[in-house]
Order: sequence, then C-alpha cells, then structure tokens
Amino acid sequence: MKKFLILILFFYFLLIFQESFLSHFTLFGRTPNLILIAVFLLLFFEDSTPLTPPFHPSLRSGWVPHFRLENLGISAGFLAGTISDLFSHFPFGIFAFNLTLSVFLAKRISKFFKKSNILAFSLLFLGYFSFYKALLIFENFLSLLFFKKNLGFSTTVPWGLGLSSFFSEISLSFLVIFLVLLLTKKYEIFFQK
Amino acid sequence: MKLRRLKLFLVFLVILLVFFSLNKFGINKIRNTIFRVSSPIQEAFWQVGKKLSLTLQVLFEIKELKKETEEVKKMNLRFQHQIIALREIARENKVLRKALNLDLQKPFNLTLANVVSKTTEGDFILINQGKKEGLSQGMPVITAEKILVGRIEKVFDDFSQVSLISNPKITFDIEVLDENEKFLGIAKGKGNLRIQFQFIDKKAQIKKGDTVVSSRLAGNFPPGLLVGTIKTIKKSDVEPFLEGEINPYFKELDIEILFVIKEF
Repeated sequence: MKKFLILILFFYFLLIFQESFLSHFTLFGRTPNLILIAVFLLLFFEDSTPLTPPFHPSLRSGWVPHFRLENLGISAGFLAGTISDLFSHFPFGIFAFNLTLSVFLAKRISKFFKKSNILAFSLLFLGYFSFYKALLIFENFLSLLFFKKNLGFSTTVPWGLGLSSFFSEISLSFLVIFLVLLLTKKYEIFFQK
Repeated sequence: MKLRRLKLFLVFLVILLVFFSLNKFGINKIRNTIFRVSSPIQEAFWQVGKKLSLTLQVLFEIKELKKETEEVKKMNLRFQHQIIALREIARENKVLRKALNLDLQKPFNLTLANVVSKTTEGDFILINQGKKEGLSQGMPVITAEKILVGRIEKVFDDFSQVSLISNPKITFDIEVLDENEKFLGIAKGKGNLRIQFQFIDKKAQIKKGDTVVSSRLAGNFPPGLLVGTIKTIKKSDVEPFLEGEINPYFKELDIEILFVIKEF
C-alpha cells in the first residue's frame, strides 16, 4: 500500500512538473513525455526474482542499475494513466487504458531480451513509444468514425508536418532515459560503497 | 495462476468501465477539485519555467538579439510616422461615422485569466477562470496585444480548458494581409503548435512573412485579431488553391496572462 501511495505522489508531481514547468522548453513544439518514460523505466527496473541469492548475475555486471521493485510495471502504468486522465483534456480513462496496455505488451516482449543489451533496450522503448502514439491516433480515428468528433490529440505521426516533432520527441525521450540511467547507476554505486 | 490472471483482467475491465462511465457523470467536478488543489503549485511552476526559459533564450540568442534590437529601433521610427497619420485618419473616421449615424465599434467585454498548464499530448492549456466568471464554451482567448490564442473548449466551475488555434480541432477563417491587398483563406490546426493555411486563391500574391489576421466570415472569432505570419507556401500546378504553414504569434510569446472575450 505504501509503495502505491509513493507512486501516486511521484506521478502527480511529475505530471505537474511536466505540464507547468517543462512545457516552456520545447523542441519543434514537443517536450518529452516524462510519465511515459517513468513508467517504462519502472518496468525496466522491476525485478520479480526472490530476495535470496542467486540474483540475475547479468544484471549485476551490466550497465543497467539493479533495483528491487517487484512487479510494479503494470500497476505503475495504470496509476500513471489514471493521474494523466485526471489532468487531461480528453475523455477520462483513455490514458489509463493506453498506458496499461502499452506496459503490458512491453513487459511481454521484454522477456525475450536481455535487459543489459543497450540495443534491445532502445528498440523496446521505440516500440513502446510508437505503440502508445499509434493507440492515440487509432482512438482519434474511432472517435471521428463513430462520434464525428476530433479528440484533438497532437499526435506525433511520423509523416507530413509531424515528422520533425516525432523525431524531436523520441530524441528528447532517449536523452532523458539515458540521463536517468546514468544517475541511477551512480546512485547504486554510492549505496554499494 | 491462469485463474488469477483472468481475475485481474476482469477487475481491470470493470475499473475501466467505471472510468469511462465517469465521463457522463461527475468527472468535471472531480477535475475541477483536482485543478483547484494543484493550481497554486502549477502556477508557481509555470512562473519559474517561464523565467528560466526566458533567461536561457537570452543567453543562447544574445548575438541575434543585438541585430534584432537595431532592426526594431528602425521599425519603431517608421511606425511612429504611421501612427501620426493613422491618428488623423481615425479622427476623420469618427467624425464621418457620427455624421452617417453608424455605431462605433464596441470594445470587447473581457475577463482576465492566468495560464496554469499546457498538456503534452494536445494543444490545450488550462486557465484559472471558469463558469463562476461567466465563461462558456466557444469564447475566444487573446493576449493583451490582441493576438489570437485559442477558444474555450470546456468550462469547469473555476477553470477552463482552452484549445489553442494550433489544435487539430480548430478551423477558422483568415485574411492574409499584403501591403495593398488582403486574401481570404482558411486556417487549420495541425498540432504541436503548427497551423496550416488552405483555400487561398492561386493567383494571390502572398509571400513569406505576410501577416495573417482572423476574418469575420464565419463569425468564430472577432475580425482583425493577429494570428501569425506566413512561414511556407506550397504551390502546385494541379491544385487550384495555395496552401502552406503559418508561424503563430502566440508561440513567440511566453503566454501567462490572457483575456477571454465574453462578447464581441
């Protein structure tokens, strides 16, 4: 229960930071979606192995920091989505559904990769990011088809006017991710000492 | 294990159904409360972000700024001459309107509002005025410089959601002003602070940098509000009209204080 309360507070302040502070710093009209990134990183850091040895030896030796966040990924996706919905200008429930589904699929696919592989990690994030954006486009299409109503997503579609925005958002996201990974790795080393 | 997963899946589905049904019942009240609780922190973050972004902008663009200041100084002198001439025309206009018994243009009925936040997945902003201040859906939102920012999309008790003119939901009539002529067209939001113009006569002699203002044609917005400048023009032999991109003025300003036009 405590960890969920911490997560709710974490996502709440992250969202406020993103929408009120970070929105001043745009590249081609985009800012990195910190909620999307945080949920992915939580999924990546989560570990369901028992507390007693042996741990994943590959994780210890790799570049990936190792935390004990047992199966938080999907719950984190749902909580982050719900908080985004509370602040959003779109129908309530859309972000909770999209984030939970994106995290669920990313978690399924991540089983086939070694977490310490930087290329696999990057590809997984690219897939997760694109799937999330594709869901928004699809939902807008459904809304137009059935309710004749444009939801108004500024979807970063990788064509037409959206090309530069798509690449700027994905580049900014990768920058944030690697910065966080670098910091968390240092943090872990600090505690090991 | 499979049964547990199925149970979890069903619980998730039920929660989602409850969430979606909230759109019909009571979500506006919940959102208004959330905004009311968060707005002091959000406003503080907005101020800090604005100040920091301005400082960084000055640091990065110091060379460009020097050049721009020189140009602005020259332009200012030119405009001062024009203002004197326009004052004389305005005085004449007033006298003529009175003589012809025509109504003078009514000033806008405005309400002041502060920006609280901007969403990541859409061109929306949140302002700190709502139903209690008499705001309603569709009201235009402008800056002190009469730059068109957007239109109210949803109204809560104390807050309102504003669709920026770059939102894909928004389409409105425009006039592209040349030195001597004006050309009618349509502006359409493309998302990510981008606006596209369409349906401008192919023969129109518009060029990059021309000013775009709102038109009175469809009556969505008051006429003459500043929209932006022409950024790109796409000419095609096949297409009967010109299209391209507009660089919106509100993007250049770090908007903080806005005005909602209650009547126009």
